[in-house]
Amino acid sequence: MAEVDRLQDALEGSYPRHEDLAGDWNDVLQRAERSPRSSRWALPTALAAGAVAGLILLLVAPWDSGTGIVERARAAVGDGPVVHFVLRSKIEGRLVPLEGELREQRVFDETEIWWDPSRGFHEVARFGGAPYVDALRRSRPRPDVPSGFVAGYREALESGQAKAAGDDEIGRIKVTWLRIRIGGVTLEVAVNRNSGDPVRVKYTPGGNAAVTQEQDVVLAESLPAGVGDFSAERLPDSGLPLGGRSGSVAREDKPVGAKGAAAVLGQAPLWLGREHDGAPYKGFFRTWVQFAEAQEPRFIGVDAQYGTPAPPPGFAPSGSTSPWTLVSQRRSLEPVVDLDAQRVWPATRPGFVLVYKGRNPFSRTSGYFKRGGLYVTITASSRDRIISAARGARPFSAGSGAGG
Amino acid sequence: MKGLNRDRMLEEIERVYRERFPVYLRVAAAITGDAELGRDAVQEGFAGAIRSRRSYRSRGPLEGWIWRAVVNAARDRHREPREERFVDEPAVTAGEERGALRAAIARLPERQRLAIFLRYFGDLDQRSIAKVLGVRPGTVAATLHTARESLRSNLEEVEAWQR
Repeated sequence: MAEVDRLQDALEGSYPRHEDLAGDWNDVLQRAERSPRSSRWALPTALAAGAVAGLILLLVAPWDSGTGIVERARAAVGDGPVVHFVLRSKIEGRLVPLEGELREQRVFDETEIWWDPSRGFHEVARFGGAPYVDALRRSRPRPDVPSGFVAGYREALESGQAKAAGDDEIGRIKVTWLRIRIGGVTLEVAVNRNSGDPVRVKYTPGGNAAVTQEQDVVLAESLPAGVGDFSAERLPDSGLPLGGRSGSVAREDKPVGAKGAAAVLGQAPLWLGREHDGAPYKGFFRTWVQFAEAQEPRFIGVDAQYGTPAPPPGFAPSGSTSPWTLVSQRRSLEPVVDLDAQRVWPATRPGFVLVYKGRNPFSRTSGYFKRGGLYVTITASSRDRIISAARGARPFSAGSGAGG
Repeated sequence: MKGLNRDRMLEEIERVYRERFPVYLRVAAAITGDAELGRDAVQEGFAGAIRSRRSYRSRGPLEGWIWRAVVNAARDRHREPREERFVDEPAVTAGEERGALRAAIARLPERQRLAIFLRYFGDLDQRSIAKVLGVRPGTVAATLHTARESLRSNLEEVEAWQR
């Protein structure tokens, strides 16, 4: 007998089913009307609380000071010693299938954080559900977003310094912005006016709105002692670059034939045929990287080019609106080229192209997918062209007339 | 609360209660070690879910969210009056596999014990258990593996007694 079955059987025999005990929904409803953990002290306690609340109303007039919403915000997080938050950044992508019906699935960049003063600070960052950071630290994090916010939010609400700073509406949720201080840093937190749940947190370094950081709060709760995840796991070794290396990357001016491209990639390059949606095929261009002047440049990939690419955002405008498409393909990733590799590539899925715009202000919206051991990145003059190119990319075959 | 309005939410909680009460009861009774305490935990867990239904955020099934409320209520009751009640039971006596297994489970760390109950009595998958315990699915897999290993050695010991 399988081991799991043995355990199942043993458990069945050891713990009775209590079929004699029936549920009572009315009892549940009655309990729900009472305060939690009600007891014989419930009524006196409620009366006393009512008297105190009345006194507070007379003395403080909370509708003027914002005290009520701060208290609701504090209560919404709970009292458990472990704090557990999930925050969502503004970065997002779309997964689009490479075949079949065109439909898009949003993927988000989220950070899940557990904070327990006795166990430390565990942070897992995921893009599209795939982890790309998993770190466990003992020390208290810096007070900026998001880590310091999670560690200091509850204390900040209890400090008496949190102030209501105006009402707003976020995604149909009526919120009040609270201004809180954590470790000398001022953060703004939008909390649900009814429930007190945090909805969004905002940090504006030096008051410069141009560099404001915002995160939506997906989950904010506290957990009982001993609960929570404080075991950082080693992420799978994906062979991705860790960054930190400086060097130069460039592309050759003249195209090579399909054989030259295949020599770099170790297999037939992907292409889109003699033209792609109005943009003519211009050839395969080899890209190379050089990490030090003493080193020889090393070819790392090939671009299949259609039309003439416009300069990246932030550079001089091309003055041309002609359609263009670039299918960049590499056998390996390099830190100087693939700045967002740690986040992007784990989030790709077989059979899908991930359409995503990087954090770098000069980065373009691009499509990412892996095929046959190649890392493929598509940029184009429009988002639709990126998707159509990803769906139409195929290995170059002899007789296609691309030279070489 | 996103997705469900409050009345609809109440109906959904009631539906879960009526359809799944015996399963919740079995898990809660296993956690508390007493059927009546378990029933009290289920009642209070569902009541708590009703009270705090505004905070439900549709991140996962409603049932999983209720599981957390019931498990927490059961844990509270387990801690209060009769802590580690099974450990006091006789350990291994010939033919008493039942008591031995319960004693072995009572000695497991709390997370392992809860994971076993939720997996085998609640029939929850690892993802759902992770949500209830506030850990990742990978952690649940490791927790269940460790718990099974501990219990397996105990079962073998009992069988040796019975031979």
